Amino acid sequence: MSGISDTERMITLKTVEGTLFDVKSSIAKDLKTVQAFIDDSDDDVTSPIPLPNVFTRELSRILDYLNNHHRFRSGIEKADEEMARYDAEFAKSMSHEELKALILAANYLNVKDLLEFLNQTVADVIQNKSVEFVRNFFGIENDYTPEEEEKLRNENEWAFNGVEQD
Amino acid sequence: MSHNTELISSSMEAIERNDDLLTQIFARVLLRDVITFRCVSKRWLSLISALYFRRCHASVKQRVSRLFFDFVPDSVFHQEVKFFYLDKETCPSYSSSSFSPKIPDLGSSQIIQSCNGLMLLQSEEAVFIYNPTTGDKKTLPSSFSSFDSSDLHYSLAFAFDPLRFIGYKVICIFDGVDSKNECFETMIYSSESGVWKRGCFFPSTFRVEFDMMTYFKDSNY
Repeated sequence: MSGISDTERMITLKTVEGTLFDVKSSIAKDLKTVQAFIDDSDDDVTSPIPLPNVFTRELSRILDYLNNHHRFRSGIEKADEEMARYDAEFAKSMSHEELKALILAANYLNVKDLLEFLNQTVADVIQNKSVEFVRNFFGIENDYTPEEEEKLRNENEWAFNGVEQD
Repeated sequence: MSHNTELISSSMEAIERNDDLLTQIFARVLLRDVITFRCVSKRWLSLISALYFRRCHASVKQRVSRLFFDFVPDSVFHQEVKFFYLDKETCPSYSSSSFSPKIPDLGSSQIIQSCNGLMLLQSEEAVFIYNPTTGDKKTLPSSFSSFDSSDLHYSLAFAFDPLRFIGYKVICIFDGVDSKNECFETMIYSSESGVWKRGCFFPSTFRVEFDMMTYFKDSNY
């Protein structure tokens, strides 16, 4: 071990487009995929770590989220309120496409807290929406025949009442 | 997590193709909507019905939303089960969401208890566990295989709490058979082991009716 404390070490990450990001190792710990890579290389990582599935826009957002959350957690009072406000703004600032792209990146990098938050955000979006809305959102093609779908809907008619119109 | 398999394709895979992610999202959606989403596609139908998902769903902290049922026996042979839906935002309206799920042999069996979405039913021949959301049914082996139980007075209770333990347990309390002193014995069936095991027994110091046992937080009351 080199004797340098963990919080001072910087890790460099490289996105698909080739952009380099310098990240404190304390933040890198939250990117479990990256951390696993570091652990596997016996802690001796000097060259940038390539992230073939992560684009600059997503990594930038993820690091933004993590940096802010670390800041809130080390803060003194009202951290919960500020964090909630930040999270709400964060979710609102993205289009549905960007939200989905971010989930994929967070999933690949294995950022547990962010992923939970994003999954909850998507759940909130599709909550109480129609089946067509959900198909559009995820880009799914309907593979039921009209008869099959009719039958399924009738079986669960009570659940379809009160669904928001598109 | 299946993120390692994504390394193979350089292009971003849609969330839709990632079962694990979808399951995590479903687990955070209210049960009523999840049931609706079975109509999205056949793949979603099978995902939602998968056992893994059911366990995930119960283990995520939910806003208050519970499905309660109230059964109205019209006559001895025709029991209609009415469900009503309690939501934090809306008031429970008895008539708006009643439905009759297809409970097998409803005419000849009796609903003993329900717990977190599963029901315990008893008919003349057998006792079984039924899930009205998916239609799954599991018949329990007889708890009294070693002796004739036709004269035995017993009560059943059912515990299912995915947050605390995997699977479910059924407890049967009955008057002790070959005992010098009167006492109550228990048998416990666990879905994990698939067998009935003898539980503890306790003396009947006073007459106790075990008809209305309820499971709450690890104990039966």
